[in-house]
Formats: sequence, structure tokens, C-alpha cells
Amino acid sequence: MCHLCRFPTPPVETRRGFFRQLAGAAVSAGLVGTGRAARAANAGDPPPAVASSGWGRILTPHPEWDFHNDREAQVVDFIREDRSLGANMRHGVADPRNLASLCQYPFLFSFDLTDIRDAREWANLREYIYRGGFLYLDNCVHVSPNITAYRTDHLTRLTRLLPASEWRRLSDDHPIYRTRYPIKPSQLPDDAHTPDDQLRALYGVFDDDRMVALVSMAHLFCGWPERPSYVEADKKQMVNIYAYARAH
Amino acid sequence: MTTLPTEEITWLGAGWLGDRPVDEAWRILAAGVGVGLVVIVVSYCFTLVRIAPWRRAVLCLLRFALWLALLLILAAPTRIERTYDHPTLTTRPLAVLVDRSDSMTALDNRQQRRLDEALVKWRRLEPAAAKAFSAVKSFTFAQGIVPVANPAEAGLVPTGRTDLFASLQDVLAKAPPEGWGGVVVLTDGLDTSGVEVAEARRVTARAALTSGTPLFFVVGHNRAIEPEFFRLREFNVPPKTVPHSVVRLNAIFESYQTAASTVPVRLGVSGRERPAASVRLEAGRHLATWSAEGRVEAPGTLEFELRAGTQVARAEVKVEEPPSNRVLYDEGSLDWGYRFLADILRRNDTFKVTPVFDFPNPGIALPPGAIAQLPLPAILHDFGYIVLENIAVAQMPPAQQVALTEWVNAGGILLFLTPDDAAADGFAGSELEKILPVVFGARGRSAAGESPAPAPRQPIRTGTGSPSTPVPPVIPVTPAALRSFAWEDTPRVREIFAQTPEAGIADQTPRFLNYARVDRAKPGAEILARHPAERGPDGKGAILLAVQRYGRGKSVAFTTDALWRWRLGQPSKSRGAELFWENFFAWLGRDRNTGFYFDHPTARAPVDQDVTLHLTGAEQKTLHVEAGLGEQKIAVTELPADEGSRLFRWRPPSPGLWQIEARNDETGERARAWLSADQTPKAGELPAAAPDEALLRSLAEQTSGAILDDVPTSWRRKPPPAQLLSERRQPLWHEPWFFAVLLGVYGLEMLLRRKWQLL
Repeated sequence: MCHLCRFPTPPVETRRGFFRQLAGAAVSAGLVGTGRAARAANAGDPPPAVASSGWGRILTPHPEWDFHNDREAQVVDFIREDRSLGANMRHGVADPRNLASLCQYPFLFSFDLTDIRDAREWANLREYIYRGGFLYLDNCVHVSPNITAYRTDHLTRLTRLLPASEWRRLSDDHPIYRTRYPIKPSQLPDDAHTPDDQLRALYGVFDDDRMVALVSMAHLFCGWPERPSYVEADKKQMVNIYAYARAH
Repeated sequence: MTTLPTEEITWLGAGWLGDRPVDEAWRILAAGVGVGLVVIVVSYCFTLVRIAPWRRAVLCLLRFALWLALLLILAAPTRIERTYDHPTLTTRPLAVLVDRSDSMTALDNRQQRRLDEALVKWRRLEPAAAKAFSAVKSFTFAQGIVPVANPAEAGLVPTGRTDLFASLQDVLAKAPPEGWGGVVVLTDGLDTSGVEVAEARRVTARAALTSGTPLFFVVGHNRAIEPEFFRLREFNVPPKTVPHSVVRLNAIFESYQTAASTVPVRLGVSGRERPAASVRLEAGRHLATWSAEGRVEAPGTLEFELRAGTQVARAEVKVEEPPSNRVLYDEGSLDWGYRFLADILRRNDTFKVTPVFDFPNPGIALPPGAIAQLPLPAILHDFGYIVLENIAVAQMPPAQQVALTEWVNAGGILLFLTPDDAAADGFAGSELEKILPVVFGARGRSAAGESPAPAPRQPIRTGTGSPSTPVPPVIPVTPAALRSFAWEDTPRVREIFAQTPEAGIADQTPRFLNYARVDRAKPGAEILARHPAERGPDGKGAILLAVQRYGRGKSVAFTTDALWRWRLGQPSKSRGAELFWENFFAWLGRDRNTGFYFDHPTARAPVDQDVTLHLTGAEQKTLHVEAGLGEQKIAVTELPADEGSRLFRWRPPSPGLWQIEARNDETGERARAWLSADQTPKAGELPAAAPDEALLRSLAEQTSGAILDDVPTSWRRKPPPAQLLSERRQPLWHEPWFFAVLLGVYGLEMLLRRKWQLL
């Protein structure tokens, strides 16, 4: 209580505290403004003219089914931003419990399918492939550290899933390395996690002599922060895989 | 083409307020202003330290200014600079050709000339023509053409004969460098020069198509009376077909009679009589059409004989297994259509697909059998079908478009697929558009033809602050989101599904997600399917599938994608998409031939006048060609070849049904045509003959022109709507000075509060 005016005591504030508040307010206003400005600049983006392409991540029971989701989004952006590709890419999630969800995308990706145990989900994947869809699996050493088992398990499952299909190791001069960008397998990163050089390859699953699924042991999503110089080649190779699936 | 920048200020274009209706957003802002004002005034009325009223007012004002500035950020005033491409509608001059022959200038019992009626019609159309074309140049013709100042001027042209076709060809040949935008002919359609009408019509149509000039006709009538007649004009039978298909026969009779009558028509198939039918002839001069169709099952040759009154016509159809079909598939942008459609075609042994992948990077590997660019014109002829999917006009140089035009004219089948408005509009006015069954440039036009269509699609855009390409929103696309084609009820559609049971048609009806809007179908086009709900500029369902004959080939406009979404959404066992494409390709190519055949031989010819017969597919084969009537045999003379066809000229010496047979003695292969020769009036003026409107109509339709009674829609064409090239958004409040003022106001208020002991 102020003895002079009998009003409550005014709050005590130092000059330093006052300027600190002032600076905080300024910074906040600036951040709010910048954020809104960016949104304003991007407002009204047109809808895509043609839903011509798509990339879906398969939702599996694996706890890390969406691992490296950010890198996957970068790959999709990489395809979208290459104007010469003319692709209007979308990136989404496909649930194998629902066939219609799978069929939203002509191209499906996953790191590991072994956690899918429901036969109906596998039947949906088979029907998706029979309708013309393409499956791309890439081993990630974090999600599936046992690389040898991974390769054997997936190739066996897929060839059993599609009777009369067969798998082949793709040679280093296979067109899948040059469908969009000329990439030599040696340009792709060496992987310390892969003990056997034979494993560091791409394996195609062929049904009626047409590739319907690809199991990649090239770890194209792995080690980006540690080996940034390889990221471009990784992305280009994934574009090659996408373009190959489309053109065959 | 001109590019123009525009500038505008928008409000409430971003943030959560931008997602709300404008009225609601402004109301929220107004409420914010009111509530803020009340809170500020109340808070400064009850300060902890008593201060003078003017000081309260100053603090209130400063706080209110700060609040207003914050609300201004929410209102988001933004300057939008847009650059538009304003395509200019290039117009060419129009030639008006006035027939001043004796038949056009002869007086009837009312002292009226056909020319008078034609000129009256033309004067009504003239203002629209003056607007639609850069200039109007007039000629008059009878024997040869003479330039005149205006169509009503007589000109010094010799009469006594009408060189209709020669005059038309002459005008087309004398076109200015940019070509004619159209040729309007005021005529009655009677060429009395003695030329072979079918051949002259073919040559004239080809000249018009080559120069991209539509032919329009203003037909002059009067009450001149001619003797009654009834004759067969055309008997159209496909020269070849595949087993288990439907053959459609079509005959056109022309007649003039004072009273309506009925003529019995009998059709014999390989000697077996079919149930008789009749054709109704109305009073006056008319064309009557008769048609019949029937299934053919086993390979072999079927001979058809048609008898109507005294008229007899005969033709044969070879029923053969389909030849191997080579398909060239050119895809303009990364799309999944190729994977799905090519897989369907590959499963059918009769198709061989060659993809064209125009990948920009050097050293890339093309799929086996693929080529990097559209082949040279000479190699194009190895292909029966060309599929152009998602092609932009920039990917198709004019020379390539011309090569495709010639390829279709020579018998190729072109499928043009695009689901994208911008890509479709890019072809407006192009060389390729001339051969397609639709006219592009509908973007921005609604069913009423005036107001912009909803959600126009923008080709390119850029934005400040976001260097990356805008991310399209994820729109769930499920089979339920796809729409079905709405088939037209036409014989052609029934032919496509001839093999399909009624219950299976729904399963084979394509389903699509996006489609490209087109302006209209061309006069000679057949629309096969429309959008089930959305309307086109003509008020009918938007066109999804249309087909047109062009020369000896066909062109197809498919305004959706290659139906891959439908295929992916269909159960793998249903085979609906597969069957649809197989049926459609088989229907398109059913009258394609590998052996030789007479290409649309004339059914009737006057005695002692030359007839030209086109034999297609014979190339270098050694042939023996002769005409026969009973025991009489006459060797037929060969002329220099013309555009892939071998030409034979023959003059029937006597009336009767002559058979012309071309035979290869080495292989035993033969082709036959029958020609009914009769006595007709000799060349000379026919003042009493009725105008031949049917001839003029067919010539007009072949060249995308029309018979003019009213201003045609092509003359009312507006320039395509401006296309957005770039867009730059600059938030006006996102400026350093604005935040400095904001900070200044806030700082001043704080300083004053401190000074006046409120802090």
C-alpha cells in the first residue's frame, strides 16, 4: 500500500526486465509475422491438375513402420521438383487391411513386411500386384538388422505369394540403374552393415516375365547424415526404380 | 501471344481466417476490434494509479493502435502480382466464292434465281464473317475464277459450264501465305464440267485438309423443276473384317419425285436372300439412307448384292484373322497409364507395342524395344496405331504434327489421351487439332459459355518464401471416387460392345477421375461417351470419347487418362478394362487391311465417262486388272500412284453392272469392286437440276466446315482465356517498417506508462 496516495503499491520492475519483455514481445511478433507471411505466400495453391502418380507407404504392425518418413518425403519431393519428370506426386499411407487403400497408389513402399501376419492382408497385397501395382522394399539396417534373413524371407514370401513368379538378382548393367539417371552401382554407398557383397544388390520379383516387386539390399535410405555425399545418388536411384516400374 | 502483368491487393487470403467465408471473417475481425476497444478502455479506466484523463486517452489510443495493427496482420493484406499470357486469336482471311453459272442465274417461275437466295443468306452472315476473319476476299466463278470487289458483283466470267471443283481447288491453290481461314461458296453444288464427281470431291477435300481450310457452303434454291429420278449414290461396305464381328452396310439413294413413294430394297448375302426392307422417298429432292448389319463368324469372302428398284450394287467383304498390330505409345509425362495399357496390349498376341520415352538425361537405358523420340515420317507408316498420352504441345513440334496428320490421312489410327485442361488447351489451333474430332480451348467456359468454369487449373506458379514446388494435397482416390463414362446410344457404341453381353457392358464401361474440357466436337465427329454429370459448352454432357475419320485413317480424342486408376480399382479377375481396350482397338482397326483392296470404289458411273479407282495396299505387287461384263473383258489402265494408292482409270463403254477385278497371279490374291454404269445427261448446264446439298454437306463435314444457314460456332470463337504464367504474393504487412512501428507504438506506451507511474 502506498502511503502517499493510498493506492496499492505499483508493481516494481527494473529497467532491465522491462527491456527484456520488450525484446521478447518484438521477437514473438516477428516470428508470428514471418510464419503468417510464409503461409500467406503459399495460400491458394492450386489442386493438382492430374493425379498421375503416387507413392504410398505400407502400414504394417511393425512399431517403426514409418521409420525414415522424412527421408521418404524428401524422395517424393525430389521426384516432384524435377520438372522434366512432369510427375504430380502424392505421398500417403496405404493400409494392407483395406484393398482400396492399397489401390490408391500404383507404387507402394515399405522397409519390412515380415510383421504382416494376417493372411487376408497378404491376399490384398497379391490382388494389388495382380491388378498392376508395384511393390518396392528397401532394407533398413535399423528396422531389419538381420540382412541375410531379410532378403531370404522377403523373396521367399513374395514368390510364394505369386505362384509361378520368380526372383532374380539384377545385374549391375540392368536398366533399373539407368532408367532416369545413369547410376553405377559403385556410386551407391558401401554399407558397413552388409557383410556379403552379394547381398548389396537389387532383387526383382518377376511374374509372367514382368517385374512386379523389387527387394533392395542397397540401403538407399540409410546413412544419409553420415554420408551426405551419397544422398543425391540414393535419391536418383530411387527415381530410377520409380520410373522403371512405370515404364515396364 | 502477349504477356501482361497485373497487380491486386487481397485481404483475408491466408491463415485460419482465410479458410472461412469472407463475411464471417470480417465479422470476426470487427468483433475483435470492438471487444479489444472495450477491454482497453475498461482496463485504462481502472488503473492502479490515478492519472489525468488525457493521459488515459493517449494510452488507450496507443494500445488500440497496437491492437489494430495486430488485427491487420490477421487480415493479411497481400499484394498479388500475376503475369498472364494473353493468347491472341490469329485470324486468316476468308475467301468467298460465288457461283455465277447458268444454273445459279437461271430464273424460275417466280423470276427468282438461286443466286438471289444465296446472296440474301450471305448478307446476313457477312457482318459475323468480317469480325471472325482478318479480311474477306471475293471471287466469282463458272468456267474459272475471277476476283471481284464484292460477292454481288457479276464479274466477267464465262458461263455455260460450272467448274465447281476446279474453281475450289484453284482458290485453295491461290491462298495467301498464311492460308485461308475458310472458303465460303455460294453455289447449288452442280459441277457440270464432266469431271468424275467422287474423284474431284476427294481431291478437293484433300486440298482443303492439307491447307487446313474449312469449306463452308451457302446453298441457293429456287423453284426450278427437274425430271423425276431415283439412283444409288453410294454403297459402303467395309472391304475387310475380322471373324466374329459385326459388318455394317450402308447405302445412300438420291431421288427427286413430286410425290412421296416407297422403294423395296433386297439384300443378298453370298447368294442367299435376306428379308426385304424398303426405303421411303419423300417428295422433292432428297437423300435416303438404308443400312443393315449382320454378324460374320468364319474366315472367307462374303458377297453382298443390293437391289433397290432398278438399281443394283454389289460388294465383297473379306473375313480374315486380324493382322499383327503395331502400336506406337508416346507418353509425354511420367504417368502410370503406359504400365497398365501396355500390359493389356502385350497380353494380346496380335499387338506389338513400341514405347517412346523422351527422357532428357543422356546415357539412360530405354526399355527393350523402346525408342527415344517419335520416328521419322517414313517409319511411322510401319505402325497401325499411335497413342499420344499426356503430350504437351511443346513436346510436339509442328513438323511432327504434320507428319502425324499425313500418317492418319494415309490410314493410321491416332489415339490422343489427355486428362489435363492445360495440355488440351495447348493444342488449340494446332496442326494436330485439325485431325482430331474435337476443338480444344474450353478452359474457363461453362455450360452457358460465358462465366468461368469452377476451379480453373493453373499451369505454372511460383511464390515468395517457398522455393519448393507446392505440395499437392493428399486426396483419397478410391474406386468409389471414379465416375463412369455415359455411353451415347449410337450404332458405333453398339459395334464396340458387339461381343459383350448386355450384362457385361457395365463391367467394361471405363471409369475415370479427371478429364479435360474441350470446346466442342467437330461436325464430322462421332461422340461415343460423355461425362455422366458435368456439362460442356454446348449444354450437353462434357465429351469424354469421340472419334472421327480423317482421310483413310481415324483419330480418337480420349479426354481422360489411360484408365489405369480404373484398372487398379477393378478386381484382377474381372478383365473389364482389358476387354474394353481390346474391343475398342479391334473396333478401331477392324477395317484396316494388310492385303490390297479397292478403297471406297464408286458404286455408280455414267457411261463413257472416266472413273478412277484407288487400289490400296498393293504397293509393288504385279497386278492384272480388268473390267468385265458377261463375256466382255477390258484391261484397265494404270495411272501414276498417288499417296500410297495405285490408281486405275477406266471408262465404262456400255450400261450394266461391271466387275473390276485386280489379281496378283503370283499369290492368287484378288480384290473386286462392282460399278453400275448408266446413261446420264452429258456435261453441260443443268438449270433444272436441284441443288446437290448432300454433296456439299459431305464436303463441308470432311473439312470441318458446314452448310451455312446461321453463323457457325467456329466464327464466334473467342480468344482462349488468359493463362496464368506466374504469381508472386507479397504480404504488405510483412515489412520491417511495419514491425518497427508496431514496436515503436508498444514501446512508447510502455515508456509513457513507466513515466506516468503505471509500471
